[in-house]
Amino acid sequence: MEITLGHYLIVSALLFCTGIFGVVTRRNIIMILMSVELMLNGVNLSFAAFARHWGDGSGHVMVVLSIAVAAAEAAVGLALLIAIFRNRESVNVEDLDLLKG
Amino acid sequence: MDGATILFYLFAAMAVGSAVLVVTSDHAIRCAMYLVVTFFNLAALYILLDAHFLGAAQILIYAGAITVLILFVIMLLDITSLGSFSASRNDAARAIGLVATATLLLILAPKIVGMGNVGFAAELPADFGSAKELGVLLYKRYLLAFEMVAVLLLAAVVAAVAIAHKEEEA
Amino acid sequence: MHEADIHAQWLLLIPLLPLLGAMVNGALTVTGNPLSERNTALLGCLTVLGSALLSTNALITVLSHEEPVRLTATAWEWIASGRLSIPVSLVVDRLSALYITFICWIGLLIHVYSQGYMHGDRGFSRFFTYLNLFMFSMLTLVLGSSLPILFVGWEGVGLCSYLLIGFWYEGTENAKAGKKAFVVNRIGDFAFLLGMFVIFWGTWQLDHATLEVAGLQGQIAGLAEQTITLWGFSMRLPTVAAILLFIGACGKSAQIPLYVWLPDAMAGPTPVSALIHAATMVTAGIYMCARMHFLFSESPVALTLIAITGATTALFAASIALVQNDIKKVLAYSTVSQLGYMFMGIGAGAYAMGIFHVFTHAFFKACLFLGAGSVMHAMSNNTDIRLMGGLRKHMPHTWLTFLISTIAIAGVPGFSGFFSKDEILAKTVMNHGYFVPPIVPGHETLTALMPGVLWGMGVLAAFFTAFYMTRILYLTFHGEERWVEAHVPAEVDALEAAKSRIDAYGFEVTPQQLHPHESPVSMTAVLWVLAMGAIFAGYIGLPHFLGGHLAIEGWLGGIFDSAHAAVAEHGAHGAEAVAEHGDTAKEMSFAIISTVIAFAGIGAALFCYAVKPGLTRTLGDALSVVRRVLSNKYYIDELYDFVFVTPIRRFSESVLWRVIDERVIDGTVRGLGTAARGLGGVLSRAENGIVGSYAVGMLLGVVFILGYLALR
Repeated sequence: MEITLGHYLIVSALLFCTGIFGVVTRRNIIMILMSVELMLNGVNLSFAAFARHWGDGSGHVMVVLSIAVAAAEAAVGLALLIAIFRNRESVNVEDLDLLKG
Repeated sequence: MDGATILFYLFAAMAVGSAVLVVTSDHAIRCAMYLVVTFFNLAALYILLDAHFLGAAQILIYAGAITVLILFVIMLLDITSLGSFSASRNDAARAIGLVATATLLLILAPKIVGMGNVGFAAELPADFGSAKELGVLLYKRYLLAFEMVAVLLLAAVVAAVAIAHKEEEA
Repeated sequence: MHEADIHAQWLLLIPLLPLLGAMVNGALTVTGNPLSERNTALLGCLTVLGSALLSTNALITVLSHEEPVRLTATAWEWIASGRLSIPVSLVVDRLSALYITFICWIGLLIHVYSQGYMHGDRGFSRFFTYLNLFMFSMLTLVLGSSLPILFVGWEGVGLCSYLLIGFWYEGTENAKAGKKAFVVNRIGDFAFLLGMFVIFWGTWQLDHATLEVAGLQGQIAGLAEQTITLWGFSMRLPTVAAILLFIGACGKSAQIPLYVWLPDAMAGPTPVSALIHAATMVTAGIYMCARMHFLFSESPVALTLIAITGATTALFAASIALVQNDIKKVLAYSTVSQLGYMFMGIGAGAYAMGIFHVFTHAFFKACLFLGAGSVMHAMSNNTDIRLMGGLRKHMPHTWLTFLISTIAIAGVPGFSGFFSKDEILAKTVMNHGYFVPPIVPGHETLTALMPGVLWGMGVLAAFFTAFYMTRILYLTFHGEERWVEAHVPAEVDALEAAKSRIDAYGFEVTPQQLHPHESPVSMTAVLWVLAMGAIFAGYIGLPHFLGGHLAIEGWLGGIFDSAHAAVAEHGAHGAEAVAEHGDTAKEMSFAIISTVIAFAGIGAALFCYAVKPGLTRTLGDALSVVRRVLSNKYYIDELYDFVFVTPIRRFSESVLWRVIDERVIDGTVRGLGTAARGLGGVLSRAENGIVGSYAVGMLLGVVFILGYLALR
């Protein structure tokens, strides 16, 4: 059976939903960050598939930029994690309830 | 059933499988490793899509830089207790997660399947997926976005250093 | 009928001037900075003087025309809604010209009197504010061109009555009296409103002139065939409207069953009693009936009801006045009784005679009340006539004017009361076509007898009137003193003498130490002016057989032509229903009977109190039940209390207050608060501060939006 655009999109959707599940479920902040990376990768895959579909390189551009943003976000997020860990001795997301009320 | 098809299914299955393992695994390092596996398989899929540069960039940046970053932080903070999957946030959160995920899938799947047999472009530009083509697009059509993302990266670097910087003992 | 309408915008000043006075005095009083007593009174009196002069001008203008004319003035459009258009406009015709003139002049006299009477009172400027406000309301009532404007004035006088009766509000009894007046008036007002609605429903008009014209052109008559059916009982529309309006008049003019507030209203200062409850406000009901004569004439049922109520009230109140010992209470019941006479006149179709009696009554009743005030002033606010006596030597002016007014009210020929009262009694019999028993058709004897019965009641009431007025005159001013001089140390002999005189009459009181003196000129001058009016005001109605031309009837008659025409149509006896003027012999015989009754009453009173002092005590002991019933005013107040007041109050306290107010309304309000807080408590659980859960929330939101977009 020939591989169609739909196949790639389904893979992309699966990756994305897996990432969502991870974000919602996990307690550890690092796990949450990894799940976010999964989500971004799923989206990147769909961009690349569409680029192949239209024969347009713009999809690749979007992927590149998305990777850049993901890298920046991962860096800043981990820096924040370090700062939090220094203050609270915990990376459990349930312990960060200063906004309560 | 030609080679490309088999390879596609192989790489897709491995990618999704290791993704699931990422979100369900207990051990931190193992999660990171599964993540790397996902990245590699994704790179393979990119190559199947004729996005050669993208595949290379994926390995370089994701599997190379980001994963290393994550591993560094895990080891730096010595995170031993992650809690097992069954002790994830609470049952309500798990239920919501499952429901949301299932809902999303159920929404997307029919749409996607309903597209039917949409194939790929038959004819491709000559240098599709090459660094040259990407470079041309980045520096010509998408120059503004490119510059902005560059500034964003700079800001991220500065922010990361500032936030994680340890206060000097007086 | 009213072809000529003269535009006279200055009419608006007539009610506006007192309103201005009220606002100025009121504003200064409320801000705690009232003018001096002299200036307050000056402002109050000047505004009324202005209105009086303008009213006189209006009267002269109307007088100078042969046919009936109207002066009109319009201010602005008050209600413009669909078919209803009520402008704020004033109308003066012969009837209202007469009314506003005597209202303003007598009002002015009483304002002047008040300066002396209320001297030194803490609420002096407040008093004049209320008095001016009252003048404004009363003038609005009389001058209004349509029923709603009249009603505005109607309510206004009710309000001012309440304010002035309870003027010394620190006293609970005074406040209660004010409240009683207002509430009873309100009942009448409710009926009045219903009457207005019925009229509007039938004719889509509320303007006096338009309604009257409609009546002339038979539109009301055509609509008169319309009936209102309630619970299977149907009545003609004019009848329903007329009866409802009359009930309103009963409230305002103190007829049975809504008279109970007037005797209690004596708790107010005496000038108030004189102005409001003798001369002006209580006559508003009669004015309204005269104004709407065309409506009442369409309904013989209503006229019969009015006549019966009037006669009954006249007799009823006069009987109570026989045994009262408070001088103001006697005058109050006397007012109720005289108002009954006026309504008798209206009910007999003799509208002009009813108005005539209003006019003469204003003079002598105001004089009597102000005279009583003068006596109270001298006797340290004592009102019990059993403790008076022999004041004639000490207060000659007050005595003389009181004497003149007493003779007038008793109906002695030559004084004003005789002319008006006699005419009413005569017309009751002579306008016999007006009485059509509505409920028992076929009872011709009833029809024939009713005028006679009513006349008999009126005659008996006249006898009582002469009797009780002479009684209080004698017991207050004549005879031996039943009190002791204050500044002289009380000698035992003097006290003993006074006590023995009290016992001679059978009174059970103890003599007091008092210092009677004549009142200042500002009060006695007013008394004299009113007394002159009491004598001479009657001559505008000099009847034919004495050589006069019954001027007032002819003059006012132009207004009431339509009424007479309608009655001629509806009266049971057809053409005979028109009033008989020319029968001199009949008129003469009625006059003689009235004179005889007056003198008989006076003579009987003098006999009982001057010649044989112990007679009343013996009679009273023999008829002790009668005496008790009359003294307690037929226990009507107690009856109302038992039937209406106490059940309503208990219901209010136990149900309306405890259940509905506390549990339902307060519960709902508190419940809303509790619900809001509860909801807040539930919703605030989402604010747990855990960022992760916020992320979950966002995710869920995205899922929902995607789902919505996908499934659209």
